[in-house]
Amino acid sequence: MIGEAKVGNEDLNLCFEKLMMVAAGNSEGLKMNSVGITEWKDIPVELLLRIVSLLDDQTAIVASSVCSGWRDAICLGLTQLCLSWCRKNMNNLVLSLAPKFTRLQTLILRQENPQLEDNAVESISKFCHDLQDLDLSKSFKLSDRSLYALAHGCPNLKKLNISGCTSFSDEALAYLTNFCRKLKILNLCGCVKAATDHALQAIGRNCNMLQSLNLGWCDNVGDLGVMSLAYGCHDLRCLDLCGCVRITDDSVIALANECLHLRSLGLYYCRNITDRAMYSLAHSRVKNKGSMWESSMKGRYEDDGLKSLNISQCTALTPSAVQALCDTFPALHTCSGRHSLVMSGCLNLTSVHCACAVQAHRTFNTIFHTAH
Amino acid sequence: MSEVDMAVIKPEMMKSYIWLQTADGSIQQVEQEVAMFCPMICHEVIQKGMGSSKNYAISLPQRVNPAMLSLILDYCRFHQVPGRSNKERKSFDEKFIRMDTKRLCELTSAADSLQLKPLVDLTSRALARIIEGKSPEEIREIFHLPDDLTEEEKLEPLKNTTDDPRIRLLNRLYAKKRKELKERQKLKNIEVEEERVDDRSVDDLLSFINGDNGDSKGIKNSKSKKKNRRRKDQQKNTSANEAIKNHNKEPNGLNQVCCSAEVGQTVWAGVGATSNLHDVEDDIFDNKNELDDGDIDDEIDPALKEKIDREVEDFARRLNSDWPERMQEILSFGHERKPVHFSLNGNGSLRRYANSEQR
Repeated sequence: MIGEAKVGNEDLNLCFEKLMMVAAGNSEGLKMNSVGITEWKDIPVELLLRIVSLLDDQTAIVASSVCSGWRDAICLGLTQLCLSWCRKNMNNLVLSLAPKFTRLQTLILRQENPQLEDNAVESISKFCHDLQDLDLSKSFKLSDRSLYALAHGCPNLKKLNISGCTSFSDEALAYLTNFCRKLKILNLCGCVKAATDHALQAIGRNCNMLQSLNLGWCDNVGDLGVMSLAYGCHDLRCLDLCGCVRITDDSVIALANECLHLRSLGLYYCRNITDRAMYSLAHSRVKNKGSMWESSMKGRYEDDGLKSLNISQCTALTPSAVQALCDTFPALHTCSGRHSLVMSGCLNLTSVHCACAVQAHRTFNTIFHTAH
Repeated sequence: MSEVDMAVIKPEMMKSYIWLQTADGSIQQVEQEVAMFCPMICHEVIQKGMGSSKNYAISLPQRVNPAMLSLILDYCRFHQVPGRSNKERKSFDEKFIRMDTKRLCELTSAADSLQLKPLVDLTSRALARIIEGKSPEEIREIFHLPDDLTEEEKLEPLKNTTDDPRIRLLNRLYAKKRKELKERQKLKNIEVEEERVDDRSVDDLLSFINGDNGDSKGIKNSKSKKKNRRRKDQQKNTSANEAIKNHNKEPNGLNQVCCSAEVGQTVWAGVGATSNLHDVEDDIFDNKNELDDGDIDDEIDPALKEKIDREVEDFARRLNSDWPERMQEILSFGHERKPVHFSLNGNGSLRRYANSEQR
């Protein structure tokens, strides 16, 4: 960012002729400015941007329309913007700001009430090519046009949140993944039409750097899709399949075998999951511990393995399988401080405990033995 | 080292000075530990061996004038002492940055050129606090910046990439809105004066209110009503504004105002301030971005401006007269002016009925 500011110095100097902004080592400015240092004349672009970075987003936008010097500085330097505070004018605001703030890397457009329309997203795609993090959650009014525009305009996207955008189709999403191959974090929660096996296959093919995927409540997701995902995205760390009721053990087995860095898995309401899935997860950990030993020897002890698992309402599971899982992954906890193995609604799993809880449980058990 | 040695050496070390030269040519000497608090000076001394004598004085960047240098040295002198508590430092900082904006800007700039990061952070935050919540016009006034953006650029609703006549129409509307915003800003400035006038009679107000609680809402209504009418005549704004007014009314209405003069003053100022801020923010962004059809119906014409001017004068006159008479006038005010209707709330307080956009 500082480099960019210096490159644009020539243009800025023209703009700042009255303000006489002095960048490092600009002797011309020095001569003119030897007497009478006033206000902003001497504040370099970097400093102005630092001050703007301390402002809230609304004020930063206001600041960009104060004078040409400020406008140029802010348009060159602003990389993060959040417009979620807009109650009714977000669409127009985006339309007017996208052409100005072309250096944006992070743009949060999560809406309380739907305002954003396709033309705004098209405008973003047209001007903000550096965009890496885009949050369009709850944009009910958007259609596939937006996804097509993003595909062409923002290929550097690493983080995309389109949760709640129920109008997107899987064709458009698949098209997007073909262009946005750097995606690392993708949130499709509630995108029922978009998150299908077809789209997941495309994701598995194209987005090999994917680390986090949220497919919550996408009930069109099936084994085929998740298996394609597992075979394609080996770096997957977080996967949320809450409410994906069609999922069976095959999906989990594929994930266990292919995604060795899996840290967080959500299977809430996946009623078809049985002990087979649990044992496969445990088994793959044991199997791969050999290769992980090397990395831990090198000092990169990443505390690999499942850290968080949600198997609430998976009533087909039995205590022995889940206990085996809990023993295999020391990061899974049932104790109150670090509760990461969530089993709500699984009444037969109350006896499953992590190692730290066992001690407390033993004491508990002796007193309330008859309760069990 | 023996104590005697230390005693001998110490005073010499204390007396060690660094020579600094500011851009205007003046040279001064500064205690070493104070000056070395600045990374840039530190660098010059250590890397280049400068500053040891008058002839080899360190040339400071030209953004540092003698006045700023002395401020910075005060800062360094305080903070370089290791034994101070965080609380002490914080309270020093708070007092330190209390200066007018001009000097604050100079100080920020000077601190930045000397790479004195803690001071840059402190002053930057202070400047950010000044800028927050202000309109572009106000910011320009405070910092003496040129008003060199064109009408279109300021609002820049859409890039004129096509010659769509609709876009040109919108741009014209925005230019009109911009002018209107300026008018309102001026009126607001007048109104700010009036608010101050009003404060002097808060005791009167309170004694009157204590006698008759219901009317307090009427008073606030009239003030709010005036603001409200001067706002853009849009129903959404109305509802938002009324929500604010109602919100202000509820807690302020009966209990707080009766309590004490101070509370009354803050409450009164609070109503004004909140409305002001909301006005400005909403206006700025609504002005920029509102493309609703409601805008096209919005006839901000000279007639309305005159009306507003007349109201302002009326209000000023009324504020200067006695309260009971004032209340009478305000109450009858509502009946004279057709656009504005008063109706009674469930609890008997006055409520401004609808906005004046029913034209």
